[in-house]
Amino acid sequence: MGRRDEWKQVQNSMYGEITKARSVEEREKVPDAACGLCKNFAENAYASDGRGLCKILKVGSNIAADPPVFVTAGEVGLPTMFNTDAAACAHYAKMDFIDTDGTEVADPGYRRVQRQMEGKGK
Amino acid sequence: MAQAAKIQESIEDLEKKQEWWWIAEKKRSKRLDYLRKAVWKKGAIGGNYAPGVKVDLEIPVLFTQMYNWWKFDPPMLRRAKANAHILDNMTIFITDHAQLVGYVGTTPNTLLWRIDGASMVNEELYNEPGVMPEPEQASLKKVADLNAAWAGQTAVDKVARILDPEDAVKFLSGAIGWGAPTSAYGYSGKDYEFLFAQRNGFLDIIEKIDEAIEKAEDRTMGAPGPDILPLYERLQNWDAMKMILEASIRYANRYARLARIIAENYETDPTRKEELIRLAETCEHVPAHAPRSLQESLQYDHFVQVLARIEALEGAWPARPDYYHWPMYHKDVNVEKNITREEALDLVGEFMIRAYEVGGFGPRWAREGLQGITGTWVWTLGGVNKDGTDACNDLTVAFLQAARMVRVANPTFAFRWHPKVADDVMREVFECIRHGLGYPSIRNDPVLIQNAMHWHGHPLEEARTWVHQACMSPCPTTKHGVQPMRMASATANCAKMVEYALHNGYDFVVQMQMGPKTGDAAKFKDFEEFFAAWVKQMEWLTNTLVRTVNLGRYKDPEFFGRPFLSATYERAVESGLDAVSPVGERGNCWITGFTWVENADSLAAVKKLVFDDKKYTMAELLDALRTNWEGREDMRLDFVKAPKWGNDDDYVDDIMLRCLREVARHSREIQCPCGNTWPLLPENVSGNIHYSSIVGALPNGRRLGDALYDGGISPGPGLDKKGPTAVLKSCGKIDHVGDGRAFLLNQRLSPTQLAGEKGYQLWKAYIKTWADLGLDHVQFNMVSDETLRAAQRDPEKYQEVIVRVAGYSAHFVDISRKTQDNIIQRTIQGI
Amino acid sequence: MKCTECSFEAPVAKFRYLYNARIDASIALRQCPQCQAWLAVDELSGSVKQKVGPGEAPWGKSAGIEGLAEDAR
Ligand code: SF4
Repeated sequence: MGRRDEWKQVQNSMYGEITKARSVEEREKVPDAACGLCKNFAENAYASDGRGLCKILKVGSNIAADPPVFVTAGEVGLPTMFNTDAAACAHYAKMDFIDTDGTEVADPGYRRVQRQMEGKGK
Repeated sequence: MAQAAKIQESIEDLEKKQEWWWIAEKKRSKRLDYLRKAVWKKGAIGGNYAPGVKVDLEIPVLFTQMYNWWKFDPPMLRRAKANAHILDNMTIFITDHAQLVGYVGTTPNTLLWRIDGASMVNEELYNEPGVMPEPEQASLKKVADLNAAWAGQTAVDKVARILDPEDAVKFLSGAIGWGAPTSAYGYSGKDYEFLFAQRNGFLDIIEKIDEAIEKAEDRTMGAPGPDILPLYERLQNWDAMKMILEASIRYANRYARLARIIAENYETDPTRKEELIRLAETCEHVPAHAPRSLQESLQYDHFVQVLARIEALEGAWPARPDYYHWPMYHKDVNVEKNITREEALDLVGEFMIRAYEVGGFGPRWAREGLQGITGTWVWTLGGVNKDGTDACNDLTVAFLQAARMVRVANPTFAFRWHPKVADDVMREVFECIRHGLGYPSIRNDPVLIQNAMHWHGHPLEEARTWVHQACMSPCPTTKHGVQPMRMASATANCAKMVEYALHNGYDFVVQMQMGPKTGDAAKFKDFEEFFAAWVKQMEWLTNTLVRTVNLGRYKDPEFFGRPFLSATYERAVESGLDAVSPVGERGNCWITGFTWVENADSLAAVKKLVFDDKKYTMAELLDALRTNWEGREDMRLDFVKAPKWGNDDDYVDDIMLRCLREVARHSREIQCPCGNTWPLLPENVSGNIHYSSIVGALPNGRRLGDALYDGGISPGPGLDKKGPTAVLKSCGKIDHVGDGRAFLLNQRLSPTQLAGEKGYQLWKAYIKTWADLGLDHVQFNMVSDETLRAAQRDPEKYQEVIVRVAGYSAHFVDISRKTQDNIIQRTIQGI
Repeated sequence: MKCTECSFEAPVAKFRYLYNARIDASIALRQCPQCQAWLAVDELSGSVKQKVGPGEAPWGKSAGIEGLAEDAR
């Protein structure tokens, strides 16, 4: 695969999902085990819509597949959303606490400011 | 009498306590007091909108309805129809006691949501706490439906699809820059020469458009040939411009009708009734015709600004109000004496309040980078006329006085200082600073005029019209000088240059190979190898951002389109091209350099401790940085103690100059769509805080999480150990013409030291030294630590304390705690 | 390091690093992962100096704990 195709693949997984229409129910649901509650989730500081990158899994992984696919080698982290269901992720590690204070500034490692995350600080 | 004496006594008491906000409340008229208190604060508190502020859902619904209906129209015409539909149907309101009208939302507490800008922003809005109008569930459903309709169809979606995918991913990582490559969130200069100096109302412009259409049709109906082919598209653009101007006149007339309805049916106070009738007459006259009075002049300007913002969420407000409204002020106050100076002050104060009210829903990076405000509304005052004579006038003074009475954090002023400015004007400037407003910032007019000619080739007369395009960069207000789309996405997080040079281009925060692989730093044999890696990373970073922005601008007429802005630009009205088209513009771009000074301080620390003194190896340093200096506090303090910028120390100052000159060289290699240069403009707004957890640990001794330095060339807070003269001397080593576009310098001064006449004289002497050294910018905070500490302890009591952040001012209580602490950290310089 | 509020004990790095008191001093602000208290930490000795309450700031010049952080010598 050439350079452009490789990055195209990354781009698609990073920004393709957002173009898919989702219902209010899908948008509102934060599963008990969600990427946004995981220590390995780094929130994107450019789009604070709840997308982020996994610090362990790389592009090519798929935690929604059956069986899930875990790729840990590569140059770009797996794009994922704050409310992506992480039930099948072997690397899920619940955070001790998350920071939901929107009056402070970006902190990819700790902060999750989405409305749906309110009350999930502990 | 006794009452007046009591007020005077209490004012003196408050002056002693430096509680300027209470003085303002006592001094302003009842009308201004009401209007100031009735306005909703739209700037975010840290990153969150204030309680009660809601997103406006009426406008995106109106827009989407009509935009979808006309789906086969070309971009500008389609947008003109959709925007005209908004102007004809949106709810409008008139605030009690107001003499000026026009807002970007349907109620005073709403934020404009430009739905066609970026899907990511739309998604962010859906997930945003607190901004959905009640009932929340119904609003969520409406927003989800709108987002589904626009998913993948917005301007940024379209740009992202054609960008090189590598550039798209890296740009959207949020690590290297911010902004959006579309005029949906850009800034646009206003062609004040066309609208105000040439006195063109919208009907005058429509006449010019009709003439252009007639001329073009003569050709399209004549002998066929390739030359007439572009005209078919331009004819549709002219139709679009005409359509939106006509809708704008109807929009103003709706206010006139509303004012008459209230006056005739509901208002019982005869004075207010008269005001409402005058307001109606004003809106019947402008924007259709050129203004005849100060009220009409200010109203015309406000309509232009609001209409441009309904079209695109503009992040700045380039303006020069004392210059362009002076003729009507002079006529009304001095010549015909239609109004008193006090009445004029009321209008000027309200003009500022109406601007303060404007707010749109911006993405969180913008809110965090501009905490407390909704955009950089930096209005330009002072300066020179086109012939080089002093342009200051009594309206300059009126704006400075009104600012102290209304005390808004946005707009703020920047003052074009030059050697001919009269002392009474300088005193008014100083009073604003002394009252703790943090503005005006002081700009060196002769230096910046020369700079505009040097970098962008503006002819002298054109350069002399310059206004602040955003918070710092000068841009003319003329036919070929005015800039339609300030490409905010060429805003670089410069600290990444040195970070990537250390880590072979890898970003440990976003976990991605970002910059080029410039080699394992542990193997660099000398400082020159390290510096060469820095140069490569700098070139890569600026190239990536500029490529993105250039493409965004080139495609903007197709992906977004600005019928209203085009209709107010002389060159667009003449050519039939979208104002954003690079054709006809000289080009006036700059790369905003956030987090710049860390580069010089980090490079110097590595040179000193790794290569010169050999106290640590590069491998040790890299290890410490990758673990955020954990357990290496002794070592970190050694790196802090290495030479630092701002102390008149050539060891580090020479590195700063070397870095700037490398960028200046590269600025000429990269070109904007007009073919002009991209000089660097180091400054930060509150981006230094936004990026604090995105820039990794650095050799200047900062950790991931620490605020970055606040200024563009300000020394690190607390690192300027040698006093204010040393700071000025370091900054004076920079060539403020040839080394970059402009350089932001923050200074904190002591309000106690600068009290009274003696204080003014001290400040004036400081300004003289500053000017003699050829610096182009300086801005001051003059609020004591005690007041700021008290405001941290008891925010309710100190709601009106204003501070200068960087390039803009904000109410202290509206900035995040990290930002507050960063301001307190800055050294108070005794001068 | 031991949190003075809830006695949670862990290596310093386990406490969320917030930001520095001043770049040239050894006082930093960290957050206890258990009770979430904001703590002023002496990074040289790895010990908690004090809890930082609302309206206070973690270094010398700010509200609440004036004089805690000295300039680096
Ligand atoms: S749950 Fe899995 S995919 Fe999601 S952030 Fe954690 S480790 Fe990564």
